[in-house]
Amino acid sequence: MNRRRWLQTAAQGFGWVAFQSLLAEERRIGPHFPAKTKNVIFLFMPGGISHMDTFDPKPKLSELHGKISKGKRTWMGMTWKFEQCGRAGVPVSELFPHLKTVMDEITVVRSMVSEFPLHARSNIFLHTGRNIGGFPCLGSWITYGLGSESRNLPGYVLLHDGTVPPGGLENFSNGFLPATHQATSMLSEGSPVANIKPADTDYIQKTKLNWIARQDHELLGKIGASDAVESAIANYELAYRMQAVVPDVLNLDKESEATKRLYGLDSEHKAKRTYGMQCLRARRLVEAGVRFVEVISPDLGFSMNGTWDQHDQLKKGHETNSMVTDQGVTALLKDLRSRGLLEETMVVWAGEFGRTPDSTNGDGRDHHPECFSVWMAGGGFQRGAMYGSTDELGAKVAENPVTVHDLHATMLHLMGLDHKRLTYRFGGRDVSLTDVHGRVVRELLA
Amino acid sequence: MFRLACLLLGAAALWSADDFFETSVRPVLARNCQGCHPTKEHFLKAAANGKLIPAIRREGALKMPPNGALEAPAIAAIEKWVAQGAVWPADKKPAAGAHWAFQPVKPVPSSIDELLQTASAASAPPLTLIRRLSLVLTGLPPTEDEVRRYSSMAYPQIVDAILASPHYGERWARHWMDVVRFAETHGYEWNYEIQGAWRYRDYLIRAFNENLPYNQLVREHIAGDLLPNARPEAVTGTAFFRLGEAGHDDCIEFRSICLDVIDNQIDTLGKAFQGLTISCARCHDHKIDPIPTADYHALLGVLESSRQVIKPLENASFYANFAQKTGELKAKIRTELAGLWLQEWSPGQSQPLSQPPPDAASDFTPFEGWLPDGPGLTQVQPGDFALETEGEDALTAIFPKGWFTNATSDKLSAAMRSPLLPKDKKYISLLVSGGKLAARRTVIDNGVIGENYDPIQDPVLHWLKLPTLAEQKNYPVWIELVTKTQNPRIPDRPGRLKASKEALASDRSWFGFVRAVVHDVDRKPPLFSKIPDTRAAIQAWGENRATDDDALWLNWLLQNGLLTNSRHGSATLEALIGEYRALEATIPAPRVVSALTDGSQGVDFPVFPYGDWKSPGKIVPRGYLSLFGKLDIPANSSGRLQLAEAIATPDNPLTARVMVNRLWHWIFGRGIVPTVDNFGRVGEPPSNPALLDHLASRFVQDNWNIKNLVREIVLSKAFQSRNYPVHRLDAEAVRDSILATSGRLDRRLYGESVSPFRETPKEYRRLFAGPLDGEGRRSIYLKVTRMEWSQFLETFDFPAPLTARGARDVTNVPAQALALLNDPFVIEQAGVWADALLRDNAASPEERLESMVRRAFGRPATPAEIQNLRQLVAQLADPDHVLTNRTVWKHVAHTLFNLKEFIYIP
Repeated sequence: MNRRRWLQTAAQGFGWVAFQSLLAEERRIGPHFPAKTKNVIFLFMPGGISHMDTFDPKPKLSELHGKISKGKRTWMGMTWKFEQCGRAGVPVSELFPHLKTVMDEITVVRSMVSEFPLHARSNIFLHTGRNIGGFPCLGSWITYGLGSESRNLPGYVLLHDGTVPPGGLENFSNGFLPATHQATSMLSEGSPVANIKPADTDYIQKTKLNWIARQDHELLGKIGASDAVESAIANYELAYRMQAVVPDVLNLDKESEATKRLYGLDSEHKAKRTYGMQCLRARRLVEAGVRFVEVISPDLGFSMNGTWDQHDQLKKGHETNSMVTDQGVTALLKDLRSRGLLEETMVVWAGEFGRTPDSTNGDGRDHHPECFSVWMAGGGFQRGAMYGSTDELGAKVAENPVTVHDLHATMLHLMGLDHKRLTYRFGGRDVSLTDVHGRVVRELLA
Repeated sequence: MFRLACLLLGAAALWSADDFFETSVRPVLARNCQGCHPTKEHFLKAAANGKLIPAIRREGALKMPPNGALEAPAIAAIEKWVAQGAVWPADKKPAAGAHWAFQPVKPVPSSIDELLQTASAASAPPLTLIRRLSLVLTGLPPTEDEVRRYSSMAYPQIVDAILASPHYGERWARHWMDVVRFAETHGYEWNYEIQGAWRYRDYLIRAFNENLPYNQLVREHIAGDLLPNARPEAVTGTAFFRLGEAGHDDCIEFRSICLDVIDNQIDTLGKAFQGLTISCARCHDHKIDPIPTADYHALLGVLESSRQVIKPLENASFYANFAQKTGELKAKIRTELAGLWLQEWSPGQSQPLSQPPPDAASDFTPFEGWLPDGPGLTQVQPGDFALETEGEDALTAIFPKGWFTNATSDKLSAAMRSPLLPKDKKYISLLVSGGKLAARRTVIDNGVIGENYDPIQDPVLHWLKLPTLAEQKNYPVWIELVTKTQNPRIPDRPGRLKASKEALASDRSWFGFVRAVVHDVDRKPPLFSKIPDTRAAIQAWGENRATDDDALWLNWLLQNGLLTNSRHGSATLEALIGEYRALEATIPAPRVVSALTDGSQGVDFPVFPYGDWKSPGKIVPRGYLSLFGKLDIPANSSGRLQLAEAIATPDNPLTARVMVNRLWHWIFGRGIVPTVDNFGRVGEPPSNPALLDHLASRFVQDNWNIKNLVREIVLSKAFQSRNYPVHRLDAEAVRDSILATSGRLDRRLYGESVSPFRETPKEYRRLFAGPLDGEGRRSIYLKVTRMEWSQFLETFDFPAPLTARGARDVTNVPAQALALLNDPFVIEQAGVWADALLRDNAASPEERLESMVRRAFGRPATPAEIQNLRQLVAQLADPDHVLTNRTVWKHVAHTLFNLKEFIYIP
C-alpha cells in the first residue's frame, strides 16, 4: 500500500474499507418483488408440541380415552379445556391464557405436515428443508437474499439458553452460503456473544488497535495488494464497533417498567423471566435492524430432546413449558403491535412435529409428523384466522395440508423473495431452500 | 416420499422441470402405475388426450390406479406436470468417453516450472521461505532455533529437514481428516462415541510420517482388515468408513437410518478417492457423470456386507503369557476347590433338581459358522472356569465346552458374530452366560448403533430366545455377542442401561457362548440333557476330566449357592487367588478401534428406484462403478478387497489425479482442479491439464510416494516465488501458532483427544468441558465432537464433518477479529508468553521487543518497528520497571498475535 492510499484510508478511519468489503460480501439477491414485511421472529418450540392439546381439540379422543388403539397403546383424550377465541373463534387450550387475548392477530395452521418422526431429522428439515446437515437454514437464506439492515449487527441471531437441540449446529448452519449468513448465537446467561466483551479497557484496546493497523498496513506495503489481508484488517474496525453495539441492543435498562412487566420479567419463575427477556431482546434486535431472530424455548429438564418432547409427564411438561413461554410470546405480539412493528415483523411459532393421539402410558404422547399446528402473526399474514384441519383423531390432515416447504415458500414470499429464484450455485447446481417443492399458501396472506 | 437430498449434495441438473419430474412425478408413476403401464408413451398419450387427470382424480368411469386413489400431493404433482406440458426428460446416458478426467493419465516429461513458466520467477527472501515452508509443511511457525539453523542451509536441505519433522505427519494427517469427515462422535441425538477414532488419527500421523505409499493407504482405508500380509495396524484404516453421523433408533421402524449411514460412506468414498459424486446415483442414474443407479446399489451391497464393528487391536498371542500363568494357577485352584467341595457334599446327599424330561432336540436345528473376534475368545474345555478379580467369591463361573471370554481375565475384549440369520425359521436361541454389561446386539441392515440390544447379566448358562426377524425379508440380520469394549453403544445414552456409574465406566465384562439353534417352536431348548451325580461330577472336575454335563451342573450349583465359593475356603485357596489377582491386575486394558469386518457371506442388494426402499427392484451383484469394469467378488466376501484394488490400481485415472491435486491445493491454497472433491463434469476443469498429468504420472511411477511429490512441489520456483498466493492460516495453524509462540505448545505426538473448551458442558450429549488451552496440545488432538466442535477453531473455518471436504472455506468475518482480541484462550496465552519474557534476562525493552518479533514472525525487527513498539510500550505502562511489568508484556504479546502477519502464510 502506498502512502497516499494509507492516508486516505486513515483519514476516513479504516471502517471505510470495512464498509466496502462488507458491501462486496453482501451482494444481495432480492427482493424479487415488493416485500410485505421486513423481519422475522421465529419462535422455535423444539421437541414436538401436542396439537390436540393446544390448538386442535379432538373430543372424539376424549371419548375413546383409555381404549386400545394399537398393540399396547391406548387413545389419550385431551388434557385441557378449550375456548373459542377472537373473531374467527379459534380454539385455544387453557395452556395459553395470555395468547387467548391476542388471537385476532394470529393465523393458526392446523394442517402442517412434516416427514420424519425423529427429532434430529425433523429439526434440520424444519430449518433447512433437508433431512441432512450441510444445507443453509431459512434464516441464512433470508439474510443472503435481503442482506442485513444493520452494519454493526449480524443478519441472523439465535437467542437461546445454550442447549444443543438434536441435529446440533447444523440446524442453524449457513451451509454453503457465505459465512456472514451464519447464525450468531446470543445466550441468555453469561456473555451473550462469544468474545464480545472487550478483554481490555477502551484506552488499551484503542492503543493496540492503532498500532495493529499501522503495522498491518506496513505488511500490505510489503506484500502488495491483498483482498484477504485488507478485509481482515477491516474486520477489526467492525469488531470494535460490535463490542459496543451488541451489549447496547441487548441491554434492557432503557425499557420501561411497564414493558418489563408485560414480558413477565417480574415473574418469580426464573425460566419465565429468561424467556420473557429473550422475547424482549428479539424485539430490540429487529428494531436495530436484525433481519431474522430465532428464539428457542428453554430446556426445562423434561426431555433432553427438546422442550416439548413429553413421551411421559405430558401434563406437567406442557403446563410448565406453556407457563414459561405464554406471557413472553403474547407480550412480544402486543409490544410489536403497539409500536407499529407488527406489520413489518412476521412472527412464526412452530415446532418440528406434533404428537400422537395415542399413548403408551396415558400421560405422554410420541412423535407425530403426519399433522401438527403452527401459527403466524403480523408480517402480511391474515389476522385472526384458521387454516386446514385434521381428522377426528388428529392423526392425519383432513384438508389443506401445508408442508414445511410451503411454510418456507410463504415466508420468503412475504419477504419479497421468490423461493424458486432464491438460489445459490453449489456443486454445479442452483440450489434453493425449497428444492423442487413448496407452494406459497396464498390463503394465509392478508 | 423419500427425500432426494442426495441430488443436492453433489451435483446434477439445474432447478428445472426435469428435477420436478424426477422427484415428484416419476416416483409416483413408478410406484403406482408402471407395474401395469411400463412405458412412458402410455402417460404421454394419456396426458395429451386429456384422460390422465380425470382418471387419477377418479372423476369418470376410468379410475386409476384401480385399487385406490393416489394421495393428494401426488395428484397435484401430476397435474402440475401436465400443466407444464408433460415433458418426459430424455433418458440420456452420459458417456465416459469424452470427459477429460476419465481419460488415462498421460505421462508429461517436463517439470512444474516448465509447465507453469515459472523457471525464472523471482524467489521470496530466505526468511520468508523458511516461514512459508514450516507453516505449509508442518502447520507450525519455525522456532527461533530452526530459523537460525535453516538460515545457513541450502534450500533443498531446509526442505528435507522440515519434511523429516514429526510435525509434518500431524499437518498432513489433519488435511486428510477433512477428506474423511473425521469426527469422534456420531452426532444425531445422543452423540455416541466413535470408539477409538483417535487411534485412526494416530495411524494417519504415522502413515504420513513413515510415508506409506498412497495406494497402500487407499487399500488399508477400504480393506485394511482383508489385505493379505497387511501391516498389523492396517485394520485401523477402515475406521475411515465409520466416522460419519449415525442414529440410534430401531432400524426396522426407521430404515433410512442405516441406509443413510451407508450413503454417507459411498458419498465420502467417491469424493475422497475419485472426486466423483457417486451418491447422486442413489435415486436415479447420475445426470451428468456415467454412473448408473445400479452402480450405486452394487456398492451398497459391498458396504451392507461389511459389518460395522469395533475391532480389538490385540490378538490372543499378546495375552499368551498371562493365559499360561493363569492356567497354571487355575489347575492348582481346581484341585483345592474340588477337595473342599467333596468334603461338604456327602455321598448320597439328594440332588436339588430332578432329571429333565427327554430331549426334544429334533425341534431345534444347529446354527453354526459363528465368527470369533478378539483375544478374549478362547475355546475352553469342559470344566474350565473363570476367577473373580475382586470381592469375596473365588469363581465367576464353571464352563462347559464353548467360547468364554474371561478364562484369563474379564478385561479381555471379544465379539462373537453370527452368520446372517435364516429367513425360514422364526427363532434363534443362544446358549449364553455373561456379566458386567456384556451384551447381545441384533444388527439389522448393518446398522451401527441400533436399538435392538440387551445386556447379558446372568453367569448361569441359559437359553436366550430371540426372533430371527425373518419376516423382514429385505433386511440382512445378524447377531453379535460383545464385551463392553466391543459394544458400539457403550457408553450408552443416559438411562438406557440401568447400571451404576462404576459399572458403566469399568472396562471389565465377559460372556460365554456355547451354541446356537434355530427353530419354529415357541419355546427354548432344554438346558440340561442329564443331571449327573454331584459327587462324581466334583471328582471328575477335580481331576480335569469333567464332561459338559458335569460342568453345566457344577456351575448351576455354584451360582445357586450350593457349592462353597468363598476365596477364604482354605489358606491355600486364599493364597492362590491372591496370586491370580495380583497377576490379573497387570494385564493391560484392551485397545479397540471402530472398523469394518466381513461376515461369512456377501449380500447383493436390489436397486431401490428413486431411493424408495419399500419398492426394491432388480438385484445387482456387488461391485464398483461399471465404467471401471466388473469386479470378481467371491460369494463369501463383501468385495472390499476387490474394490480397494479397483481404486488403488494405476489403471484408475482418477485416483492419482485426485490425490496430487489435493496435495497441490494444500500447498498453494488452490488446486489445479479448483473443485478438489469433484472431478466430474460439473466440477471445474484443470487450469493446467499437462501439469496435473505430469504430477499424477510421476506420482504413480514413484510408487505413490507422497513425500517425494510434496518435495518436488515445494522445490519448484513456483512455490518459492514472490508471487506465492498469500493466504490465511487454517484454524488449527492459527491456534497452534499461538501456542508455539507463547511457549505453551506440548509437542508430544499421539494420544487420546482432549475435549475442546466449553463454558457450559452438555454432558447429556457427551459434550464435555475441556481446558481453555487444550493442555497445550496441537489442535489435531482436540476432540472433534459432532454437534459442536471447538468453537475457537470453528471461527476460523474448521469444517463441519459431513462428507469429504478437500477445500475449506476461507472466510473473513468480524468474529475472527473478536476472537483474537478477546477470546480468553488468546489472552491466556499472551500471559503465558509474558511470564516467559520476564525470565529472559533482557537488558532493555528494545532487546526484548527484538526477540519477540523474531519469535513471532521468524525475522528480525526493523528499526522503525522497534521504535513503534517502544512507543506502544510507553503508552501502555509507566516508564519505570518496564522490564518487570507483566501486564505490559502481556499486552505486547497480545498485540503481536493480532497482526495479520501472524496468521497469514507469507
